[in-house]
Amino acid sequence: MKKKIFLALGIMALAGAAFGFYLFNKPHQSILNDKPDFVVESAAIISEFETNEDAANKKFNGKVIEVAGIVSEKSKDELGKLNITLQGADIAGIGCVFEKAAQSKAATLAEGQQVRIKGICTGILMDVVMVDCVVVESN
Amino acid sequence: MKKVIFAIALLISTSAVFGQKVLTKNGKVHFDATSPNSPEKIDATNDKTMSVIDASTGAIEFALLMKAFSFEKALMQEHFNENYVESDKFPKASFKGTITNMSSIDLKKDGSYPATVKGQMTLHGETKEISATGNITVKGGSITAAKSEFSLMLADYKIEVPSVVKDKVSKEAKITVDLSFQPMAAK
Repeated sequence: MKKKIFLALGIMALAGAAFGFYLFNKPHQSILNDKPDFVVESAAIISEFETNEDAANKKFNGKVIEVAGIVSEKSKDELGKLNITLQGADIAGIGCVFEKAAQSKAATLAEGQQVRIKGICTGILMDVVMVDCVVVESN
Repeated sequence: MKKVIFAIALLISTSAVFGQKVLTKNGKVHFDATSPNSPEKIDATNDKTMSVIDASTGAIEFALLMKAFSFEKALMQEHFNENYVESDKFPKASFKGTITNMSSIDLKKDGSYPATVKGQMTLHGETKEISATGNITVKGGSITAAKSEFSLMLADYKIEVPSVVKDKVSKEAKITVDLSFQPMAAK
């Protein structure tokens, strides 16, 4: 009986260690299937940031947001990574960095196209910046 | 921090005067704080660094969002944001300074020029005077790229490294800045 308990404990400890190791090494996770915390229009979220940056930081930063807007700029860096900007009401837009798996779909987007992009909000510089983005819908 | 953004906005709004201002919103900043004996790399990249250089004065600024640093491992990123740089409290880092040898950079001659930059670095709510050396590329009459590598002592910015991870996380972070500029559109 004692042996069985030890064995069970041993297995549990191993499983725990394996889980810990898994958590520790867990790669970046895609937000593709995550439900967004906020669904917004590009101009609306920019204006929230411009009106009260601190409040908007608290509300949106680190959260999954889905933004509807028009592609105003598309460029590729030296490494071939895509940068897409969604148009806002004025000079500020929404800068999107795409996750690796979403690059090819993002590459099909064209300037002037209406899209929905989901990403993690990180705050505002000149543009509101989203990282780990995926394309939700394009038409 | 708002002042920095305002200053950048001001730089931009007064841009057209000489047409010597260049801008990027997609600059890259990489840091490496891997301790010499660490079994794994402690590093991350930010692809959304914003920077402006005014070649007429040598003024250079850059700003980035801490949460836009991307790590390979999700947990490392979480610890970085929550325990080390406290991104909720201090969402941005910024640098504001000047290229001290701007006079030796000839905008009329394409090429790569060594540059020294001096100014104020703000990170984790702490501002420190730093200087760094790097390279500036000139093409077609304006600055098209800037690169630099320098180190920051984490303690200078009150970023504490708990003793349990001392053999993984270095006290010093090596920062690599890689910026490709576009001329700023005249308004």
